[in-house]
Amino acid sequence: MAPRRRFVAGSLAAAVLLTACGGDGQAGDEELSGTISFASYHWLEQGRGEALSEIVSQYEDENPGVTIERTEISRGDFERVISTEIGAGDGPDVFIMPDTFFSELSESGALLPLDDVVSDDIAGRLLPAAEDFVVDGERLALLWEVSAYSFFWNEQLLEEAGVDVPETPQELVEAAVAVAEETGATGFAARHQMNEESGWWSSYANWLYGFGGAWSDGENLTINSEENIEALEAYKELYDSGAFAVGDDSSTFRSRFGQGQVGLLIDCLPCMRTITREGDGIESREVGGGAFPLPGGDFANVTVGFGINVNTDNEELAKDFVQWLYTEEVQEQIFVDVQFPSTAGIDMEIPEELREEHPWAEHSLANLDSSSNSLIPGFELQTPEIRTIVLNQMERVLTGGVSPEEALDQAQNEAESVVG
Amino acid sequence: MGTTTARSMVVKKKNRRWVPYAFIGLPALYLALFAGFPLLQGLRLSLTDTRLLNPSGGSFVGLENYSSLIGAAGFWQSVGTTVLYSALVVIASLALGTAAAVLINRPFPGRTLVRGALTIPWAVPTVAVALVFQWIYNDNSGILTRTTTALGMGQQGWLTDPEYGLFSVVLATVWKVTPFVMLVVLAALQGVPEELYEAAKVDGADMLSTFKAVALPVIMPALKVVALLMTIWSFRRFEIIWLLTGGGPADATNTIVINVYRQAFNNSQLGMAAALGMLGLVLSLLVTVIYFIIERRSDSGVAR
Repeated sequence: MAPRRRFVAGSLAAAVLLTACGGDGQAGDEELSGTISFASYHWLEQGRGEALSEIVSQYEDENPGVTIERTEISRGDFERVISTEIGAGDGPDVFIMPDTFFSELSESGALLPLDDVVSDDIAGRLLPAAEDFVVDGERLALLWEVSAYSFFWNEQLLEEAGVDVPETPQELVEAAVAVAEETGATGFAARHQMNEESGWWSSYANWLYGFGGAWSDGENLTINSEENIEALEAYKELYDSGAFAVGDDSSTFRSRFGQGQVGLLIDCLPCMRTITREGDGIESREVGGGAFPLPGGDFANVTVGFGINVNTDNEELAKDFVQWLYTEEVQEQIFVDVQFPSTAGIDMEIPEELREEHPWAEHSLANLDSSSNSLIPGFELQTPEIRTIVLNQMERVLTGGVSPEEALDQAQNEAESVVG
Repeated sequence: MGTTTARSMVVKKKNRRWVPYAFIGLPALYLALFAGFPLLQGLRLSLTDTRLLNPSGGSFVGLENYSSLIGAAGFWQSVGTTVLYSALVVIASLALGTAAAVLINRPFPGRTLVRGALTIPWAVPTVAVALVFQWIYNDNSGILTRTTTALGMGQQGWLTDPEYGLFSVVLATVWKVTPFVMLVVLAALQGVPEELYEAAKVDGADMLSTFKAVALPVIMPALKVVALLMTIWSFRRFEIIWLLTGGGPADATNTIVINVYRQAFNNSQLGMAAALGMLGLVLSLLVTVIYFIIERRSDSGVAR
């Protein structure tokens, strides 16, 4: 393997420098002016928000008559706010969109096609996941990031508890209990509540894929499959172990991990970078990361797109801004300063210093191609409804004493009645 | 001269006839614009399969939304949760609010300070209340869990166990709304003549008998109105439930309003959400009608 490894195999070797208004762009000859809004939940994330803002400022510097409004919306409210605004004929001019939201947006015609925005050079360098945003031959969004999940641990707490990094579901329970009993810290944390529905769904997908399960076979729902029941049984065992951070939402358990009060964690890679960015908390070298201690080994990702609102009043400016964002130079900055350990939109090499700085990212990045998003194949548009049904039934298992088999049978029936 | 005076009196009389309509006209116009029109829009939406991202793009589906809602077990569970939640909140807040009002109605040193302190929960923003209670209820480090653990009762899932979920939300709500009941009852208690208390004292009545015979008849109309208001507000309450549990655990706090929100904003089913909203409105109207029937019967009983 070449010393400068790429995290996506088979990418094009040619690196063509693209100019801001090159390719098929329509703008560039005339001076652009006006204001467009850019909605993202990154603006509110420590470190990431500031870094992205600095990059966007460069575009404003290059185009003195242009202002990019940073529209801050929290992750929990993102889909709801954007949907309501677009439904009212308004909304941000450009915005990011998680995969679970894209189906709804494309189905309702809320996105401007971007085929004339993407130059051939850029199109050739887009990561494979970018094809998720092509519908009936039209590119409705570009890839913003693929954010992988990973399994993390606090090296010091594991050492104090006298346990090795777990490699099986049973060892995971034992390690979590040992951390809780020996150190007084919380053994294990992950999202597990309905008030973080979308995040819980993505996070639980790791468990599902780790047991070889799936919510559908592409044509029929397979919610109550044997693998899915097995995954839920193992999850329930960990939940009941007394070492699970029951009741803690993601911001709480992330803060606690940062303060060295959580032993083991399932979370997304960029979330860990945010945790370790906070100066007075846990340092990156004190965090371990690696394969999920589950039999399958596959894991989940969140694929995020970037597109233009069909309601925009300033289409020309919005398209020019998108072209600029997807030049190699800007993408490289976004990757290094904002996205890493998520991918950027186009294929990028990982600088060696970032690898050394965040060793816990290595496993997930190396295996990114085998990860999957949390959309239900064949039922993309209905995923939010099915998600609510399944997670409600999972809550009954975790807190109501219902057996995983009974709950997933019930979820299967309810979901089938929804999809018809 | 006499004819002119008579004519001007007729004109004045005619003008006066329009005065009540002018007074009613503005509020009626306001209600028609801001309540009637949205209500009709809601009704129209409930008969379509409209989705959130395209509010004007739905097609007519007749009563399909209503039939699928009424046929789903989740809807009836939601109605049951709403009724139970409202009943518990109304009963507890009325009892506590009335007791607090009676206690702070009597003169004692520092009364003004106590009255002020007791109204604080009503003044605190609901979001702040929800955040505080989230920490109180936290399974691992909340003060309630620490207390129950210290008392040997073990760790309880106040917001994560379906057995406790509704109870925890009711407790937080009662803490927040009781001061409103207290203030209304306190105001009503100012209408009880002091002589009646003195007469009851002379007759040797105890505190409970004095309250039942002297104060209760005077404050009863205020209590009825506040009970109606609390019931309707409880049916409609959203923020504190959503922020504490999001309708969970396992739908234990999934009231109709939470359900409407989930349908509209999680599932993007605006038509279905509107149908749910309409059914919730019917429930509120039912309570109001029952209130007025009871009110009329008790009035006619008094008149007889």
